[in-house]
Amino acid sequence: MKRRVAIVDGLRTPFCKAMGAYRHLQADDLAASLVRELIERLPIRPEEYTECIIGNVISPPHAYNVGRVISIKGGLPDSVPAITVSRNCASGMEAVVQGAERIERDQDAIILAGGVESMTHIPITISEPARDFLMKLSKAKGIGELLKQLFAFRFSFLKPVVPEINDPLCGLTMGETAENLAREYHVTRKEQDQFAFESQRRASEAKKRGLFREESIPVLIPGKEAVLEDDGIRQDQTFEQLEKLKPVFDRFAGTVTAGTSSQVTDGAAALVLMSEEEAKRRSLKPLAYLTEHAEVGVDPSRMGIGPAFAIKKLLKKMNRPLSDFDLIEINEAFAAQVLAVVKELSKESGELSLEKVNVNGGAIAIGHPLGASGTRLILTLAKELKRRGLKRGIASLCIGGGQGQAVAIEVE
Amino acid sequence: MSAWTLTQEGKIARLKFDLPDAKVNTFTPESLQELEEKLDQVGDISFLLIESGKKDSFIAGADLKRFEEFLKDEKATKEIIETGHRVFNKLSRLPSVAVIDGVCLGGGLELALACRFRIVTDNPKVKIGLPETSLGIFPGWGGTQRLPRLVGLETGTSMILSGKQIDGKRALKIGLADLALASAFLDDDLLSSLSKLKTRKKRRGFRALFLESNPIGRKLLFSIARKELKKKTKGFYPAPEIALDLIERTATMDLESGLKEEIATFLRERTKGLSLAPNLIHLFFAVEHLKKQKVVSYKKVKSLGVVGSGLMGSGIAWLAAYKGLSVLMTDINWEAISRGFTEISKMFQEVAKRKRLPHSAINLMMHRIGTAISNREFLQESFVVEAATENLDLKKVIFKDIEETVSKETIIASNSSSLRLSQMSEGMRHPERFVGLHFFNPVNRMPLVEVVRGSSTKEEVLGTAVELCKELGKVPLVVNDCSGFLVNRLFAIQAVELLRLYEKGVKPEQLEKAILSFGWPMGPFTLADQVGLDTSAKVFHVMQEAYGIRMKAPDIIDRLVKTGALGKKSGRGFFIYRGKEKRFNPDFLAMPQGHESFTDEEIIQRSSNVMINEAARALEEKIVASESEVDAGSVLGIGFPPFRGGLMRYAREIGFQRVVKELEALSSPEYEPSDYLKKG
Repeated sequence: MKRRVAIVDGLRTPFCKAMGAYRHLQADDLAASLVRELIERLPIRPEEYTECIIGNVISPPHAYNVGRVISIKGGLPDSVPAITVSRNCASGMEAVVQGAERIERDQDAIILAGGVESMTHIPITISEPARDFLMKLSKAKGIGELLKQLFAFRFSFLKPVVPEINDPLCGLTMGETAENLAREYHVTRKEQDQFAFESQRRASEAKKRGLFREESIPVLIPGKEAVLEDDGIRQDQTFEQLEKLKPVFDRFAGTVTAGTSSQVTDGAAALVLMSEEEAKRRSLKPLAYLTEHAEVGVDPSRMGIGPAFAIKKLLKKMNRPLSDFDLIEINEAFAAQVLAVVKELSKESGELSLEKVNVNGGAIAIGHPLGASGTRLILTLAKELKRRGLKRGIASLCIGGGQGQAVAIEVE
Repeated sequence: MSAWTLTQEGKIARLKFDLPDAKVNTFTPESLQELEEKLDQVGDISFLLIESGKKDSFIAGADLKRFEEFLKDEKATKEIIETGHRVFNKLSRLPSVAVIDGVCLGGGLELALACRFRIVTDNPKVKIGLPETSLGIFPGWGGTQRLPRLVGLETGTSMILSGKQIDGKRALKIGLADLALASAFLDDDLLSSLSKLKTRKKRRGFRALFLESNPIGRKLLFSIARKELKKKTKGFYPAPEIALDLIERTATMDLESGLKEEIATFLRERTKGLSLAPNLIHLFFAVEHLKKQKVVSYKKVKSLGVVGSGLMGSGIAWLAAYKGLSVLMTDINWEAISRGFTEISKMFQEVAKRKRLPHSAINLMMHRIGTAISNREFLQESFVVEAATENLDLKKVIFKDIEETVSKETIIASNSSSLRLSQMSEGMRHPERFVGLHFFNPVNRMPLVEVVRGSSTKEEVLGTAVELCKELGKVPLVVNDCSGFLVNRLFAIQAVELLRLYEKGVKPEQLEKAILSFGWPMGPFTLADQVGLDTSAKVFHVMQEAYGIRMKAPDIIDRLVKTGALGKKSGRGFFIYRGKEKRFNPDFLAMPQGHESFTDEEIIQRSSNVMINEAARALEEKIVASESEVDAGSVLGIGFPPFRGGLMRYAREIGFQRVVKELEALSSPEYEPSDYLKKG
């Protein structure tokens, strides 16, 4: 990018385990309350926004272009256009990148960019024969035809079709792709357990210090207590507990366990973007600036290595060494995968210290609501850089289907 | 040089097998003896690990070439069998652990079975099995005893009779393995996981209780196994039957007596039931030789063009897509392409069912296939195979069309089964990039491909074609240019002879029966119907034109084709097909016959002799390089009975002189024996 783009501010909801606190909240409802809160907190009139971009993977069947639904429900006027984007697990980052690109090219003035996922609401569908049955039934005219159609009913129609969790390109589960990397980069079970333990420890520490409260809004649920905090972080996690877990993806000879995988979580996050000049004109003090981004494609069966090559490409575009960056966020889809990325990056740039990586823990503790994670990483990173008085950081994610995405940000 | 290295650290001894100057570990008398010496040195230990120094390979079995030699001699056989038993018995008395991180077959598995524990890994190269019966012998180092005792009679017997290889996962599941580790972390985890090894209590399910733990169940189990085996071998292969009898006889014995019985059976049957082993081992090496042939130079083909979406074209397109190539398939109109596409989809459904592939995998493979109705679109394809109908003029037009647009490096091949390359390439601008690639029908079942070298075919073009076949999982047989190449010359001349015999007076039922009794997989008329009578007729015309009187076929097929009987595909050929039933076509039976009669032996003799003579001519003309290649080609291409070791091996066995004498006795120009046979 030729100019940096201001990230004025950002917020997120607490991240909660799927089928948990948000089990009755649809993705659009979860994100809409966040958007409303974000608009309220900023001295920008709703009609001044020129676009709303939302990253989302599991499109809710009741709300196609969920971005538009979120935008209106969240309080942006009808006149503000909205779009939903997907780059699978990096959709929340893609939304921010697309927003930044449009602002950089002066195509937009102020953009609300974010991401949301309700992993609870994975659509469960009916089979093709059952669909045909229902279609014919609804079209049946007269009682005779209706009865005839009813007789075509089969009990198998009641069997739901659960979506494939395997990658359509390599046929593996994401966990199996992590197993591949564990073998290729020789990341042992013990290293994975240690990493996961550390992620939980760092996240617990951050939670105790109230760091996540600074970036989150409370979510209200009728008849229940308000959700104030992430609920996946295990304050009392011990290393022995992790050691005892059985591999889940490769039960035969695997290394990846539930404890070393990201949690399946619901959540939303959003940022407001504008040009640096616009921020100055409005006397706003941006949270951070987005300076560059990079995307790469990799072998789908080794999708977890994506961030390593995305970061390499990012560094090349910026002509900077990795050592120029003070903090690195590598989304923790799996401990094995993050450690493989660290090993890959260490090949060229010299040892990348884990002290710089995911300093407040990651998705293993906090959770990974697909569409929201990319936005949260930028938000969490920006806040931490500011807190520590540091300058530059990189946020990156691996992407199911074999991609990697990374952005560079700086704070003043 | 030593093959085994024994080390010890604390109470854990490690014995590593690394056969010098070999890619894989195999048992030779020397390596077996050395193992025994090393075992004798083992002291006070808590575990003895048996490991391999070869990547992806534990032990591939006994050295077949050496073993074949021993089989010829009673004393040598006794020696090697007894040594194996003695060594493995020693192993079984130690706290031994086989660490299987690769191929573990035959004697290799028998060693592992003798160990107290077996560890397998997730290495995809882990293949565990006892292939002996498919080579005409049976596991003779304790395999028939220790395997069923370990994994149960039903599973063990089935593994021994089928020779089927299993992976680590399955091995763990059936109780063959005691522990699984990740191959990549073997060095990290091996020693620390030894403490998890415990003699497991055998847990057998309800099925085993019913079928294995009582005499009536066992009787049932073995009688089902015997029936299924008979269906498969048709009585031509005694080795698995001997193994089955042995397992049944020893099922209730203690291990020691069972092992003794195994040795006794092996020695008793060496010259009887196991006498086919040399033929099957010879054939194994003949096919391996083709599979592993090296080429001077080649280019990797990533994208394949296929002209024609008929039976052969769609078959080739399917195969290429299945094996990971991208494909562009063309035909003259969308109706034809649509039919071919449907056929491809069916082949994918079939393989999905057989290999239990998920729908999504098949979906991805289907997407590798593109289609077009022009032969001028092969811009991405570095190799184009023509699989149009057997029409010389049409083929010439196609090649001209292809040459218009493709790059200079693109290789053009023809799937023609009978036309000479030199005829087809007449109008080509670059005949040096032209090669024959004769797949057999049906492409998804027939393992052989004849790779035809034309007089101007460049070495790299030929090499690329050979490597492409290997990539597609086929067995390439390189032949020089002639009409019908090798396989169809053999096929045609036998068919011609059988039709002549029909004409002389032999009833078709007798011809079918005689041919089946020789061990052919199907009778000649059944086969012709499957190939298609129209296709066969075309081949016969080409062959007759090229080879004259000896390939002159009675016009029976032409006349049947005229009545619309095109073979099984039209429901009518030599037979009439109604559902699963078939009976001879009355139009065929009505054709005039003489009144001569022949015995089954004479039918076999005459039909085999003409084939042997034709193969000898092909050898003389240097169409095919060696007798062993004819052997492989005759078995894989037209189903010559494998237990006979191949056509030329059979000829050698009955003696060239006998064949010459019998041919000369017919005293007719079409039976003129070749010089190759006369020279012996």
